Amino acid sequence: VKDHGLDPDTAERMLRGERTGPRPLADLLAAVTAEPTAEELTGEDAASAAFAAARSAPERRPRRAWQSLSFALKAAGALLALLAGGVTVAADSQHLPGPLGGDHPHHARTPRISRTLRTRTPSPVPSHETPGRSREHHAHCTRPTTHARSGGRSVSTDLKVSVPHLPVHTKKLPTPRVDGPETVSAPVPTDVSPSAEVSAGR
Amino acid sequence: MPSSPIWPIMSGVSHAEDLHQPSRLTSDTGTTRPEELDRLVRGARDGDEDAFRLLYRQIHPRLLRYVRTLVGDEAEDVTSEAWLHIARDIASFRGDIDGFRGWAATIARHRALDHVRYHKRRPADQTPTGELPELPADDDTETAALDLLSTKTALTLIARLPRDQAEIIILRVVVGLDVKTVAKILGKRAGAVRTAAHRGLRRLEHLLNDLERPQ
Repeated sequence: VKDHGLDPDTAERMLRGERTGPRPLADLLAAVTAEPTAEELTGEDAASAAFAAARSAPERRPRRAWQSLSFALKAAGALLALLAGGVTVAADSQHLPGPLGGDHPHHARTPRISRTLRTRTPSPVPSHETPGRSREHHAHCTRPTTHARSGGRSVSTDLKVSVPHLPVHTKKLPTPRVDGPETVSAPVPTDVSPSAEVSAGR
Repeated sequence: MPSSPIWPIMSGVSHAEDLHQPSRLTSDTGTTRPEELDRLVRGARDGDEDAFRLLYRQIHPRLLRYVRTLVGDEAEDVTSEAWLHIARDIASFRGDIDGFRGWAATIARHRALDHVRYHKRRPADQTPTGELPELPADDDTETAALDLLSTKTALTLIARLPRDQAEIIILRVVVGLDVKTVAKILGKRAGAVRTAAHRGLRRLEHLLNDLERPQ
């Protein structure tokens, strides 16, 4: 009988903190809601110091959602601009094909590059342009990436992890080519490679 | 929000969901009325350090006891981390004392679960029966023994429940949250929270009966 003494209504009242219900259980709940001991009230000074420190750093406090959002948008814009710049430089210096396809004879594409630069310049919030621009990059990069794929790998893998792959390259090319700072453009072909696959299939 | 006391004492006063505060877990600050507590929350949010301290005295023991059921003896450290977070972000908190309790409990819970994940263990769940401190001696009468039940022992007992049941019981009884808030914190439905709480209480009853009748 004792085991089934706790009806839902009593249980609910006990959960609300009322002193009610069967004895051993009520005592247990009384124990967990007993007055705090001195030991349980330590740490107040540390918490208060943290509170004061947070107050004295005013920039952190009033950050609202829109500020974070605007920062995120700016960061995204800057990143895209950087990537676009990277691919332009890479295309210009003809390093884009990557280690295996690097020594194919190349192609001048100066006019298109200037078009890229023009579209990129006035774009503080570029998220809507992204698909269009990446298609444009694709137009620039089609031939190089195709070369790279014909070399047996996807472009993104080659360019991204060119350092770990270096030993492999050394086997094939006696003097491994050390790319200049233009390899900053490495992330770009990641965007490009899906469409590059399509065009490679054609 | 009715202006009835937030700490209903003794039998059968509370009928509303929000009047469920534990009756004894009050500190000596005298600020136990809901309007007072709301005022402390607003004050702390606006940078009043005294208000923050008073709020700490009200809320910290509850959080500490809750965290103890999750991480055992590491509770002090984990709860202090939670307070650093609360102190840093309270300026952007919006809500009353009930909202603050829920918010603080959420932060404490995240810290505790981070801790558990980091250490890949759950001390509270793994306490073997033999390690329970201060078990009633055989020659005590039942009531005398249970009167002596310390807060820590009681928490250890509750921590022997399945974790969701233990958490729900502590969040409701000790932290003083209503079903809806607990459900939100745990990502469960209100009905599931109710069921788990009642099941946990019944289980505790069995546990206590077993302790009182040592084989």
